[in-house]
Amino acid sequence: MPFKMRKDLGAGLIALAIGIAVCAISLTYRIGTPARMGPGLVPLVLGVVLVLSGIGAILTGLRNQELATEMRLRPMIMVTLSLIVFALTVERLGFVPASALLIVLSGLSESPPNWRALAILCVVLIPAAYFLFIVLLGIPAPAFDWNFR
Amino acid sequence: MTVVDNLMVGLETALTFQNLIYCLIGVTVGMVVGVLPGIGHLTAISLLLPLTFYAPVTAGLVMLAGIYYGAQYGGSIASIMINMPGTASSAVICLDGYPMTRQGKAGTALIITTIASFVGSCIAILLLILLSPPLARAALSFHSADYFSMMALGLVAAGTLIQGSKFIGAASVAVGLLLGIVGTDVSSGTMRFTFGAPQLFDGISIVVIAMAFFGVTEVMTSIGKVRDHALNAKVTLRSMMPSRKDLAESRFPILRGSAVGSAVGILPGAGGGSMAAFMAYAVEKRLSRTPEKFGNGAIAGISAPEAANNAAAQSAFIPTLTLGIPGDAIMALILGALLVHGITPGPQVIADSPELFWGLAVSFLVGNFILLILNIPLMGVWVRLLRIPPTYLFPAITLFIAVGVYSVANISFDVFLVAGLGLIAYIMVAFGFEPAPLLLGYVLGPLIEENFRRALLISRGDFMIFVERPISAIFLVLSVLLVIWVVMGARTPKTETKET
Repeated sequence: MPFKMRKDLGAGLIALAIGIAVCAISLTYRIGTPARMGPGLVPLVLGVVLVLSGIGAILTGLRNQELATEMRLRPMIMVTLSLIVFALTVERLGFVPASALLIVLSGLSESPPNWRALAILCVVLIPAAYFLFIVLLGIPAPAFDWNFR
Repeated sequence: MTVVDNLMVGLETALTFQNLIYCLIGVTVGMVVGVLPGIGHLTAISLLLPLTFYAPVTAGLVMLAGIYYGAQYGGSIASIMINMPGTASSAVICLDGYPMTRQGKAGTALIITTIASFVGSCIAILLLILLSPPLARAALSFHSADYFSMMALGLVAAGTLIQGSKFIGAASVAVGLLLGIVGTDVSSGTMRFTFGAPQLFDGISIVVIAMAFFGVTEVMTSIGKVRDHALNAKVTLRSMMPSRKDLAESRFPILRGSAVGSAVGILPGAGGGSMAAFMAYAVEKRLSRTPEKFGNGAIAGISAPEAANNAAAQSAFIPTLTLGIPGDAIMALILGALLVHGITPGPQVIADSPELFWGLAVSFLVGNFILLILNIPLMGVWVRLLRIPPTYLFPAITLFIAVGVYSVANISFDVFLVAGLGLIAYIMVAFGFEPAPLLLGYVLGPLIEENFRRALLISRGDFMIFVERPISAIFLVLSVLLVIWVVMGARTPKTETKET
């Protein structure tokens, strides 16, 4: 289920929001003088740039009706979820279950999911990734684990 | 040291077993991602970036560079066979390459693009070898003010030379710069934008940024989409033998394309391969005595752009390795890899680590020879790669993103970060934010702030230092001219030619 919004208007609002937040945070740091710049000066300048370009984009967006690229809700949710689940499980259940969960969850982006392809991917890809990252590169993650503190 | 001595150092480095293996891996991966539509070389380089941290710096860079120019070879195969560019810079090849396939001349098109790629690369590598040492020597006299202005020009170019809204281009650069300064401020020790998370004290890893903006967004864009282009033509070795006429017709377009590509590649922010290929195509069409042939399988329409995008891929290394100024997002990644290995990019690299620079330069030659061998006898294998259904591709890439990001510091925090940033990146890109200038900003952020601070410290807060130094003044004037040119150009009616 894709959804659409006005392009320049949306982008301008995003830039404006980030810009205001950045300015607010930068003011909590020391600004300093040009000769002795504080850590807040450059972020403040960038925040102002964001606010100005945000306003500029909003003004063009009032006339320009062009729509943003269709965003695909299902992949957005499933891919993000698959990464979060991997992060949650890799140290608790181990590398193999975490990878299997990631492959299946990201595969659910497709409707209907291609179960056969996902099964093949699990069988072929996980041992390959295990060998490359854990055996060869020595990343300290166990294959299987049960670790809930 | 003479050029010959330097090349001997390079040969010694490039021909070690380890570097040869990394070169082979790089160009092979590059070919594969180049051929497969849907994953570009930026994605591939982002995915393999963590692996380079486990290798010596030269080997890692040899591999990353191999992916880049390898993908330029592979990209045209998909354009020619299924009318779908394998990488963005091969989009132009579709115009005349696919018509050639429909006329049963797929084999000829493939061999001509291979030859064009090889010649274009070699010419640009020669330029790299001859031009870099004097350029680096000149740049040794640069002061922080000059560096600041040079980087500012690079960022202005990156933010303005994009399609779509220049406001959003400027915002993309600003967001990138801000992402780059997250973490501990070097001069005051202040924690900036860390929100109290100790995992952010050292800043956000380039791997996380690259994977979020070039990995996660690509997966979300392409996963579950059906590829509706059928592969019809068969390619045999016999059909690849070019006729004398084909070769004669391509000779000058290849040379002109190489020249255009080399020049565009050197310019910072000019957009690299895609821009080079489009310009070369335009030049050929204008010079041709039979411009009506273009679009219907003109051989100059594939040979010139293909030479150009390969030449640009090689000459882009000139400013990156001699000045430390990356011209596009890929060079920014290469620069990031250097920084991770503790090498400050800049004019001193050639003098301080000659084996790195010359080894890399010679490895380009080696890599292009490997690609020639990989391409001509094995063309059938690459063409068959196009039959892989995308269903298999994207879950695999997602796994590679997760494990790759995890491998950088062995903390799951980074994986959470890539999930969140990836989602935000996807939304921002959908609204027209540009990931390439953003990455450039991210890499240059800390460097540009440092040089700005240092320049003003030296001048005791006097901003005139940026215009009093002639080199700095030139770069600033160029930046201002660029902005004026873009603003004036914005008034003329826009031609919307968005390519993906």
